[in-house]
Amino acid sequence: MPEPYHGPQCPHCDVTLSNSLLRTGTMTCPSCDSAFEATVFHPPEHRVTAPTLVNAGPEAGSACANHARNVAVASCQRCGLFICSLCEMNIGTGTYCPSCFDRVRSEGSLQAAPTRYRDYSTMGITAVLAGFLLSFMFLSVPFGAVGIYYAIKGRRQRRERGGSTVGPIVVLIVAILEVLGGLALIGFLIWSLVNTP
Amino acid sequence: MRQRIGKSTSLVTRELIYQADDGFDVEMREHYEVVQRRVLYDDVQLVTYHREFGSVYLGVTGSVAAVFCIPAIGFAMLGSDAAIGGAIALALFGVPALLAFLIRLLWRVDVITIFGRRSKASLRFSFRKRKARATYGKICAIVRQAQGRGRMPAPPIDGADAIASAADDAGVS
Repeated sequence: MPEPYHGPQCPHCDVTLSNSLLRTGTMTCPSCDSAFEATVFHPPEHRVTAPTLVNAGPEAGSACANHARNVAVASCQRCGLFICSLCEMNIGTGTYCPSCFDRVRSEGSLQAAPTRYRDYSTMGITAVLAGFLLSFMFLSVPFGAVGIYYAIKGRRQRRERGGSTVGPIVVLIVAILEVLGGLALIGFLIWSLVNTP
Repeated sequence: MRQRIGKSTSLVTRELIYQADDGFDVEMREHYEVVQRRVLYDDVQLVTYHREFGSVYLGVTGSVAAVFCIPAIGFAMLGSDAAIGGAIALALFGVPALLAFLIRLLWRVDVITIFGRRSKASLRFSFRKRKARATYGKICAIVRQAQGRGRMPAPPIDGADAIASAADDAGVS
């Protein structure tokens, strides 16, 4: 389990550095005394202001369910809650309130924001290697077939994500050769058994 | 379109870092899963550059080298044919680990770390020191340029704009 991140740290000992310690040039960590080169940036503050009912007037509409003083600008498409522009989680395919966004994200049903997915190309490489190592047990055919399946899925996945498809294609070719080699080995053994006097 | 700028590999994970339109994409590969996160250019607070040995790497390679090379030297000192054969077999495992240990001890590894408000990314360069230095400069330039753009006055958010115009129409000030 990764430790929670609280902002800039010492790159040597991972101790969190307060903003007052940060400076451009050579820095020394107050905790471990290690030196490192640093470039400090001052990112612009993001200030989102939501219109309030006091300013907009009663004709402007309903109040936000989470911020009673703010004007609701949308309703959550999952629970129907009125939400202001601070709470509005618009992800392109719909608008959610923060709690519904957390729920659908943890359920994995939010297709627009997946941050964790299976790497089918690596699974294909593993299947091909396993088939190669276990070929003496005539397992290269089933493992090669699994490798072909994962290589095809990996290629499709890489193409959808805009990555290079060279790796999955190489895995696919090797997996096909592995299956053909395994079949040839089995065929040769059967032929040898049949033709043995 | 994103471009790969570096990687960071440990014993259990492998991270690939890409330069994207609005931030650095980090793809962390854990076994058969990829976990994505992003350090936005607008969020970067600190970029650091340092050189380290990597204690875990040195510990692992040093231990493997010691486990195989010390008995190999012992066998070699016995002098018999069988012992020399055993020493060679052990050295086949020990010498690569010893080489890796010595190379890391001499070269060390250059590490660039990008610290954002909510996440961080790390790039490690074992051999290409000049490229590491160039990448550090490039990262700082990209962030500086992006944050410079961000200081321009931002247009009002859509919701507020719509409500403000509705309020104007209704004559509410």
